[in-house]
Amino acid sequence: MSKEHLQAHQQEQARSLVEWTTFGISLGILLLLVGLLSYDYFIHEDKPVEVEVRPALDLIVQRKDSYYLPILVTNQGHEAARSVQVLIKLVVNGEQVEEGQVVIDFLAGQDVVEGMAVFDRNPLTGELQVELGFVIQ
Amino acid sequence: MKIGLTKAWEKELDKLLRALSGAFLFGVPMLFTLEMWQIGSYLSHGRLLLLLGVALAVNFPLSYFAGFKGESTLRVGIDQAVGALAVGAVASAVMLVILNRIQPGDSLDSILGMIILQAVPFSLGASVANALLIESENDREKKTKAFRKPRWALLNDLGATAAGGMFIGFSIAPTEEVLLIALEMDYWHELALIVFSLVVTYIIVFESGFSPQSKENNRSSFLQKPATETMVAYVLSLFVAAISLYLLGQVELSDPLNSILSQILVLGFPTAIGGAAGRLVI
Repeated sequence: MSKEHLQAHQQEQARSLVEWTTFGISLGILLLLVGLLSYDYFIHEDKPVEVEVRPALDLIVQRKDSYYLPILVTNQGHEAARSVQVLIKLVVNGEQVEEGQVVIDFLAGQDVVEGMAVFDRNPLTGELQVELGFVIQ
Repeated sequence: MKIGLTKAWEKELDKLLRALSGAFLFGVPMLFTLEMWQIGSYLSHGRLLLLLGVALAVNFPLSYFAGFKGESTLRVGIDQAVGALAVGAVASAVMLVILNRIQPGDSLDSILGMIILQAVPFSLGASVANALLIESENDREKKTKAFRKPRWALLNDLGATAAGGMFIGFSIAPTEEVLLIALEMDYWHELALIVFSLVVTYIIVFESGFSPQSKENNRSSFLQKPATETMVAYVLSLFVAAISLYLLGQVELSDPLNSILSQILVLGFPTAIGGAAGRLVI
């Protein structure tokens, strides 16, 4: 084999080694995606929307004359929900004194979104009632 | 053998960087689309698998005829299609994390869904990278002659950056997504976005092999050196983003400074990509 031939042959070998390596890595990435998808499919059955609302009473903040109450809205299911409506009422001595509403446009499965309800009086002085309405995707 | 191997790796890296550039040039508007994140987070497993399959099937002919490695055989076609989709998936995952669309507590299926859905336009961009941007040798010669004087070259670069940035910036600035992303970015995301914007635009202009100027060694002016040019172009892209946001009434001067800055940085990423594309084609 002449010197040029040998060089060309070696270059060709190097090229194919490099190409196979990148192909292997690329294929590995795609197989990882497919593998994770399959894993997730077999581990989690399709769970319908299950929305849970938790007013974070320990995180109430007072600024000027208003009380800010963080509302944690969690979707325990795996399906997404649209237009999640949370209605919060403050009841003092059996009488509703304030009412507020938080709307979350889109709540993915297993997602937590924080909303904020604002009251004129301290929500800790009464009883909070939470009502929930949403549209399933 | 060793020298041959290093050369082969360099060539392969060039091709991958070109694919990555194509991915960002083509896929960035989709990245700033609210519906893409939402749809990604609720698509079923079966449909996501189908998406991957369809993406491969569409990437194959694209790679075969106009692929980023510039060759056409069956084996190379398959190799490139798989490569393009992998590049798309990695780019998609990195961008979604930087833009805070993917967070640590998210469920696996919504993370996978968002990555796979966004990987489709990214991979298509990677596949058509060559066809979109490689210029004929003739054009190349004309251009280098016309802009040989450094002053002209600099004006040419800055003008192209502003025009390209405006072109993409104006199509994304009116959307709600910029504010949505900006609101949820914290300090680390913003820092990562700045670094990533600089790296990606540097790769597109100087490492992807698209630019007729990238191979020139006679870049005499200080501002024409790759690192400084990238930085100056990025700052200009941020200005373009700021002006686009202001002109379209998305930010007002009375808004809080950190909100304005965050929106400028978020829109600055696509305007920087547009600016880099501008420097390649104008």
